Amino acid sequence: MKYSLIATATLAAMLAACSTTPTAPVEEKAPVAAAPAAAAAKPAAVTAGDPFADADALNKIPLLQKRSIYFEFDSFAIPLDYVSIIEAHSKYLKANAGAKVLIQGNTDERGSREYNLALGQKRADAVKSNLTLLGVKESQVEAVSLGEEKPKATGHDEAAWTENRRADLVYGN
Amino acid sequence: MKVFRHAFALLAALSCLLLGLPASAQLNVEIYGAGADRIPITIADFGDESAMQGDDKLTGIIRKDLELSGMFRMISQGTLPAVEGTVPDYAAWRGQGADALVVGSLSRNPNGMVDVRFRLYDVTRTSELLSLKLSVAANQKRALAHHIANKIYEKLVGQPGIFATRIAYVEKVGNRYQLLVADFDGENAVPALLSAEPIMSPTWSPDGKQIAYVSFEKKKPIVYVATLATGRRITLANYKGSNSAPAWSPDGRRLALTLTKDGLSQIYIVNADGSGLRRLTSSNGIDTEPRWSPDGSSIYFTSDRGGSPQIYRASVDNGNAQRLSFAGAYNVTPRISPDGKTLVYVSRNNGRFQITMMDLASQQTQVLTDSDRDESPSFAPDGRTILYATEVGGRGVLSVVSTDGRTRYRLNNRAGDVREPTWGPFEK
Amino acid sequence: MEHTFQRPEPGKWASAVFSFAMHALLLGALFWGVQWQSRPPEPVSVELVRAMPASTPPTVERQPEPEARVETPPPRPEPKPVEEKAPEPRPAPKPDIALKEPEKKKPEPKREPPKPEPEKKVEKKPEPKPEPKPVEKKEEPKPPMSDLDKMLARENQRVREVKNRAIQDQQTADLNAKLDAAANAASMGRAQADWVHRISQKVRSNLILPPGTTGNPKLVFRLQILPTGEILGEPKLVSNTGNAALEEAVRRAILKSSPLPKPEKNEVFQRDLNFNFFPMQND
Repeated sequence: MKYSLIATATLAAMLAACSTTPTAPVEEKAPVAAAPAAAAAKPAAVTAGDPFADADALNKIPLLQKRSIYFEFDSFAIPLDYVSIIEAHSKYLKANAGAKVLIQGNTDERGSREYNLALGQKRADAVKSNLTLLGVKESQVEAVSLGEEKPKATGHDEAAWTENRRADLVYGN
Repeated sequence: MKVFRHAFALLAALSCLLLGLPASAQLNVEIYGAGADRIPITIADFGDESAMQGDDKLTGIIRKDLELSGMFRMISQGTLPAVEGTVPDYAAWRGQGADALVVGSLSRNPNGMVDVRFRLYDVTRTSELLSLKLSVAANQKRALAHHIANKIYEKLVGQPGIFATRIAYVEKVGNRYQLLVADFDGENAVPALLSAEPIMSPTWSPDGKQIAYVSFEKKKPIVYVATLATGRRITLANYKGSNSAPAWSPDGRRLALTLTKDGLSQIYIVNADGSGLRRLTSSNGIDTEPRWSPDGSSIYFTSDRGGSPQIYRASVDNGNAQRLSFAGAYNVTPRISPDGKTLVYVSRNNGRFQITMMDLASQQTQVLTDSDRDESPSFAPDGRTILYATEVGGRGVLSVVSTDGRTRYRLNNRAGDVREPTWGPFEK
Repeated sequence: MEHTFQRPEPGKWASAVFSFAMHALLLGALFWGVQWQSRPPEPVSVELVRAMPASTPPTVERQPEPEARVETPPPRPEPKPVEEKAPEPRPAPKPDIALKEPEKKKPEPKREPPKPEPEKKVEKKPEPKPEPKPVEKKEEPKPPMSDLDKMLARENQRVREVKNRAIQDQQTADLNAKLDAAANAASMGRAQADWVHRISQKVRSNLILPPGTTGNPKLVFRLQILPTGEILGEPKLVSNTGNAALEEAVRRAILKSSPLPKPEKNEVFQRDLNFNFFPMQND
């Protein structure tokens, strides 16, 4: 619990400060400010009709620039804090039928690499099933696992492990 | 008088009977257990060792090989002469405590090769056990040393030696990954694969010619099979989702692996060319880390279908599985011994990940290691020792422990972060 | 004079019985003592296998001749006499082994305990006992005699007693000789057990099991040795285990143990030895 709070706090800070932390490069090019926009932007976007259909939506909409979901230890349930992010991505994918997303599940470094690969897969699958529940087509989403092989944080402590219990959305071709 | 005579007869009879003085026959001596554990041997310096290239001495490598096996104790040559071709002074060698003696010589021949002669003597029996003559290239010192060590081991221990086998492992240097193939002692490492993305789960084909592995070079795990001699590779499995955990069948014609194409991680079987995929397990949990039994009839694997990850065994025919590990909440990475009798796996004990051994017949288990982060155990082809990855000072290193506790050593010659070791088969 | 010796002598029988009883007692003590004494090698892995252990009881049973009464020396009080032999082979059983294997841990430093007493004296005791046979007293009622007759009779009696005593002494000496022999035999038995033990320890210390030996194999090797302990030729494998590496390892251990320790007493030497190996058992 404590760690998810830390993660949440970290995320909030990143949103507010426009992410200068050494997180995924995808998040770095967001010049947009406004942390509270997270909540406020949603209704606005919906009413606008097609901001998510914009070809450059991924770079323009703050929520779409959030592409990491953090998990509790030994857990595969998506914390509530991240539901709005997933909703945003589902809107984008629905509005752009040609878009595809790769969801990469990750784990901390403890334990068997192959078993961790399977655990990471469960995290990726959790995100994927949320997207498809929200109406995204199966063919647009692929859930895979990187297990413990691609740690974002390379330390061997609780902070690093928290950072690595994560699923990332990667948009490709 | 008569009474006394009887008495004496009785006495005599009794004394014989009771005091254990058989009139004749054989004397029985019962010997329980064994009191020694290492064969004392002298490997005398070979004549003209400088004929081989490289810094290490040929005999030094032979000695180290034999010592690593845990079956030998080196006895120094002392001042005794050891000239190849002359009969040794057995009594003197015996006096120094050696049971066996190896002498040899090297010499350059006109072809630029090195002629090698060596003899193995049984000091106890005062006889020559082995005499060999070889011609090798001057840069083949390690291969030659391992070959000689094998000959000695086989002759004195009566079982095949593993000194000429190879291991493979993954090394991470900076952000680069390489799959290395090395001698059994970790020396002589040669990269078989370089990648900017992680490599994991390498496993040798039974003939030692190919290695199956998982690469993340396409942003997801995909299983490849590389042929070592040519460097050519095929994609064995690139299905939607994750592809991982390849394991060769004993005949080398099929592989088991883990796919998520149908949802959860489950075990599938595929032909070695990637064709004929079929699903083996159907559980509502994670099934992964398959390993074939030596007879090819069943597959050992990890599953959390019961709530926590445990070791199971499934029939290759129908996938019906039976749970094998019960103690503790985390038992993963099963590896079966070459004779099919012993299982090793990683168990978490009080937060420490350690290599555990289970005798399948009795279900008795024993923790073999005493460190915190042990993983990826791999049996030597003779089943005597287990290679595994552990962590020292935040860096991955490789260690070896024998199933009988006789030997334990570390392969610490790499500078990088080393993991995922796998022991190759006996050389063909 | 002569005839006096021919005459039936009731007293002699009685004394013989008494004497025998005493000796039987002694024998019993000796016997039990030895039995008891032969326990010490218990922590050791060697066992001297007796030629016919099973038949022992019946044999004993069959000896009713010397009077049932005599035969039943039930609880013999002092098992010490046996001790007498303990001292002799005791000198130093270890050097032989100790010399050869410095590195092995000696599993049996505990053979000492069962030697409580140095009282070899006790053994001597019994011997004098039979002597004080005052039994001779019972001269049966004779017809009235003259003083001379009485004197003669008394003299006769005295002579007879002396003679008797001489005979007794002779018999006692004989018995003692036999007892000495038995005692000697006992010490031989122990000398042999000790020898077997030392052989076993030496061979064991040279045995290196091939890796991966499993199960509970038994291997029997037959060999011949010289009085010097040297092994003649190759040990012969009598039972087959199917494990060639193990058989070779055992053969090697035997050969390496040549020369085997020599017995303390040459008399217990045996030329033909049977080695029974239980390499996976610890005692």
